[in-house]
Amino acid sequence: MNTFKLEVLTPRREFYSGDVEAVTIVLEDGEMTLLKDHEPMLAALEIGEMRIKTADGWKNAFASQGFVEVRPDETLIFVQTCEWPEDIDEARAEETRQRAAEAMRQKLSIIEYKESQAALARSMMRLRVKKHLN
Amino acid sequence: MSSLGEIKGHISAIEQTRQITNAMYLISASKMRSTIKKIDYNVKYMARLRSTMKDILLHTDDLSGYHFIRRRKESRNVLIILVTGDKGMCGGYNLNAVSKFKETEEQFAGEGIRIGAVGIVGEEFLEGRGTPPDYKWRGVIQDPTLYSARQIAATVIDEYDSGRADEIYMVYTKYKNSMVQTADVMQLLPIELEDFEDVGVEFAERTQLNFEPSPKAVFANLVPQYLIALIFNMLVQSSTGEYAARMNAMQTSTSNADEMLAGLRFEYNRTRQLDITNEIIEIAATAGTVADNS
Repeated sequence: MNTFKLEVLTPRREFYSGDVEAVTIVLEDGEMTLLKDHEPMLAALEIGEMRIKTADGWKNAFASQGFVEVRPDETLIFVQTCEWPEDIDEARAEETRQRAAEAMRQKLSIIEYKESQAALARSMMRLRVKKHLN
Repeated sequence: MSSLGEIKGHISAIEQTRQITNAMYLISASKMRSTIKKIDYNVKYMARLRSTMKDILLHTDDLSGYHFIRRRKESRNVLIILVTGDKGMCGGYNLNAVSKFKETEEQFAGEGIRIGAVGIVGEEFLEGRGTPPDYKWRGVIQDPTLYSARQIAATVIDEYDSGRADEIYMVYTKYKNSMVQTADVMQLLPIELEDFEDVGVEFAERTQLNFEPSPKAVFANLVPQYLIALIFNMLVQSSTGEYAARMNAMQTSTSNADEMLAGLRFEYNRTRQLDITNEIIEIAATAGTVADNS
């Protein structure tokens, strides 16, 4: 089987560690699927859905911003937060979405605006990943 | 010799204080137990992230175009962020961080210094000496979240991007174990290869990295991500350090109170016995006089 070692790390926990067949990530210019023996690469990860393929099939997860480093020996993904659909709190994501959307309508500093924008994108993506499960 | 009532008052005062210090000891012990789980993993995560970062810096040809990673200028404006607790009662914890801050500040004497404060103790120290902080983050340190790390990182990047600060440092408390915590200073920006001397490279033999979609885009994303993780790590370390320091300080206070109580109880009993003896002597003497007179 053509597998490679994948590690997904967040500041809070080791999200995933193991041999996988493929992983699909979201980059700035679209999705990218990494297979075994991919050339060494460094890429910035956008907020999106990460899909991991193992012998048991595809698994989806929510991933926020981060970066991926492909090395000959393993692939490392550093993200801020990563959640399986079953761990996503739909009600909380919906609440955050509404709050962020409301915050963006107010007059804000650039920093606050960017923060709200990122929070909005995260909550919307969480909801989307969650809905895929249902 | 003090009277029985006085000693009694003294004993009950110390008992009350002991109850407070003991409660604070128990609270900080349980809080520390919950953060300690976070920190073990987080320290490992940080080591991997930093070695990856070093890896990237080593394997990138030309870094001159990236303003987050550049040489020092001669004249400089610095931003120093001081991380302290929101309250005292934790031994030398806050004091150590403050003196490390003063030390760092002295290195930049004569340059433009801007200050940020995480934690109310540091904030009050800065205000008390007449240099109120330009930024303050309150209530962050008790339970550090990625959310607050993101906010601090956004400010740091804004300061650097706008050119108000050429170098940004963070004074925090490095957590070694529950007994040893030392105040330390870390350079947040610019990111320099020399800062990574303490970490090894996981993967040395490699020619060049490909950047997807472009080096500029990757670094624009990578640096904020790295900063958020770094700041989060320092907040978690400081917070665990604070609980550990408070736990130790309160444990010492409680055992001191126990010692004082033992001494006071001894004195109380001695005084009580002395009083009784005196009373008996008085009664006996009176009885003797009455007997003699009859």
